[in-house]
Amino acid sequence: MINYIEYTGKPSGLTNRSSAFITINPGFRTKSSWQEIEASLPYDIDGFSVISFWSLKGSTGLYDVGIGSSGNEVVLIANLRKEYFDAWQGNDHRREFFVPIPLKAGTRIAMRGQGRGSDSDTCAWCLLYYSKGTLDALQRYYGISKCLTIGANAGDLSCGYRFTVGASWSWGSIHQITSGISKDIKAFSIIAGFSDYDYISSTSTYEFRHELFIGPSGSEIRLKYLYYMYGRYTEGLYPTSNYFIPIPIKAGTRLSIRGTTARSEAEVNDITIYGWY
Amino acid sequence: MYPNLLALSQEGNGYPLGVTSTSGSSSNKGSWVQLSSGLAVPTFCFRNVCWGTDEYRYFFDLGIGSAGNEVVIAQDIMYALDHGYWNFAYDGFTFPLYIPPNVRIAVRHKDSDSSARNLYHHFTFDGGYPGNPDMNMGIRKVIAYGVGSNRGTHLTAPTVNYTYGAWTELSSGISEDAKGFLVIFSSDTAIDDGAGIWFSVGIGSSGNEEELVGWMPATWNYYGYNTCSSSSFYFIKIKSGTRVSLRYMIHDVNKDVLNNVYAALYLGV
Repeated sequence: MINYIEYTGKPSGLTNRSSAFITINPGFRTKSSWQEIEASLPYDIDGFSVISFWSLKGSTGLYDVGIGSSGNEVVLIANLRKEYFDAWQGNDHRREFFVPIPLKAGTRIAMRGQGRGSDSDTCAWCLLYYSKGTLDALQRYYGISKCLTIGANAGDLSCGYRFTVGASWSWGSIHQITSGISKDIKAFSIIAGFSDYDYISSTSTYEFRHELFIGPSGSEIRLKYLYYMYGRYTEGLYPTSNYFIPIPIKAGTRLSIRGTTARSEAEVNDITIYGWY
Repeated sequence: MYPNLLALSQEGNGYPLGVTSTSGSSSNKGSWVQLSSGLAVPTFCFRNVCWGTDEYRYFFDLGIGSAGNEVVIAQDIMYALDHGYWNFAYDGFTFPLYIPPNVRIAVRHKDSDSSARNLYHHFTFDGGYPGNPDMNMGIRKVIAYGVGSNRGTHLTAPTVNYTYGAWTELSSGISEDAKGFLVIFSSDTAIDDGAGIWFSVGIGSSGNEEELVGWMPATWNYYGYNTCSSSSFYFIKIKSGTRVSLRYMIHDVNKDVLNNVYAALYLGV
C-alpha cells in the first residue's frame, strides 16, 4: 500500500513530538487572551492532538485553539471541552483530543480558555504533532480542514448541550441538539460530560449510555451508540472523547440524543459534537 | 461504504458488550469467555474499560475464533485497579484494531495475585477511529512488550526535576513492522500527592536512542495506588527489528512515585 513510510530510524524532517506545555488562566465565562503554544511549526503536519494533563483546581472549561500571528488569531477549534476529573486532590486527568487538520510548517498556534467557576484556575496544555505522512491516508480520504462545534454551551454553567437521561436503565426522552447542522461534515468526534455542577459524591462507578440520532422529530434514526463510565468526584465521563467517528452528515440534518443510566435517579449529561469538514 | 453500514448496525456501532472473565490461579490466564458470537459488520476499533473489586494488576487478551481455537489479536493489555475509589482504569484503552465480521470474539485474563480474580470487561466496537486497514492505518494485531511478570517494566528514575532519566529498553528488537504504538503505565505504590510525569519513546541502539515522541504527559493521580495510565495510539511507524526504549521525567523528584514507574509497550501491526 502507499503511504507506508519505511524507516529504521527517525527520518529526516519527521519528528513526532509534543510542543512544550503552557498554562492558561481561563476567564470566568469569557475567553482569556490568546496564549502562544507554538511560535512556528517546525514541519508540515497531518494533524495533531490537544492534550490537557494538569490543572490547579481542575475547573471545567471551554478552550479555543487558534492559528495566526499574534493579534490575528483565527479560531481553528472552538470550545474544546475540558472536564473536571478528580481535581479534588489538586490534580487532573490527562485527556487527549485528536484533530485531523493538516497545518503547514511555520504556522503559529495559540490557545485561550474560559472556566465555568468563578475561581481562577491554571490549566496545562500541550500539542502532539503528527508529522506529514503520518496520517496521509486519512487526509487523502477525508480532506478535512475545519471543525464545526455543535452543542457547546459557552454561557452557562454546563459545557455542552444538556439533557436528562433516564434512570434505572430506562431511556430518557429524545432531545434535539440542533434543528439542522450548518455544514456538511465528513466525520465527527464527541465529548460528553456530567456538567450538572453537582457531581455524584459516591464511591461507586456508574455506566451511562447515549444514542445519537439524525432525522426529524418522531422519525429519528439512530446514528451511533455511545458508552460511558462515570467515576467519583468528576464532571466528565470516560472515555474523555470519542475519536473520529467516520460517519458523514449532511448540512441541515437535525441531531438529537437520549440517554440512560444504571443509577436510580435521573441525571443530567451534556454533549458536544466536533464535526470535521 | 462502511460508515453507512456502521450507522445502521448495533454491534459494530458502539453498542456495548460486557462479560466477566476469571483469571487462573498462580497468575496464569483463565479460560476464554465469549464476548460476541460475531459482529454483523467489520469494525475498525475497540475501546474498553474494565473493573473489578480487587486491587491488583490485570492483563487481558482479546481473541477471535471458535471456542478452543482462539487466536490472540490483542495481547496482555494491562489494567491496574486501585484501592476502591476508582475500580476501573481511567479512560480505558482504544486500539484501531480491525475485527472481521461474523467471527467469534472472546477475552481472558490473568492477574498479579496468586488467586483467581474476576475482571469485568466492557467493550465497544466501532468505526470511531481511523482504523480502516484498507487505508493502511488500522492494525490487525496488538503485540505487547515489556509486560514483565506482573506490572510492566521498571523504568529508570530521573534524578533532576524536569529532566529525563536514562532510557530503559522495552524491546531489543520488535518482531514485526508496526504501524503505531500505545504505552501503558503502572505503579505499585501509593503516591502522596499528584505528580506530573512526562514520557518519551525512543528507537535505536543503546546510547544512540532517537526520540520518536517526547514530552508526553501521563496522568498520575493522588490516589495513584496501583494506578494505570495510557497514552493514545500513535500512528508512528517502527520497522521490524528496531530496539524501542522509554524514559520519563517528573516535576518533583521527591514524589513517592519516583522509582515506582512501570510501563508496557503495545505495538499495532
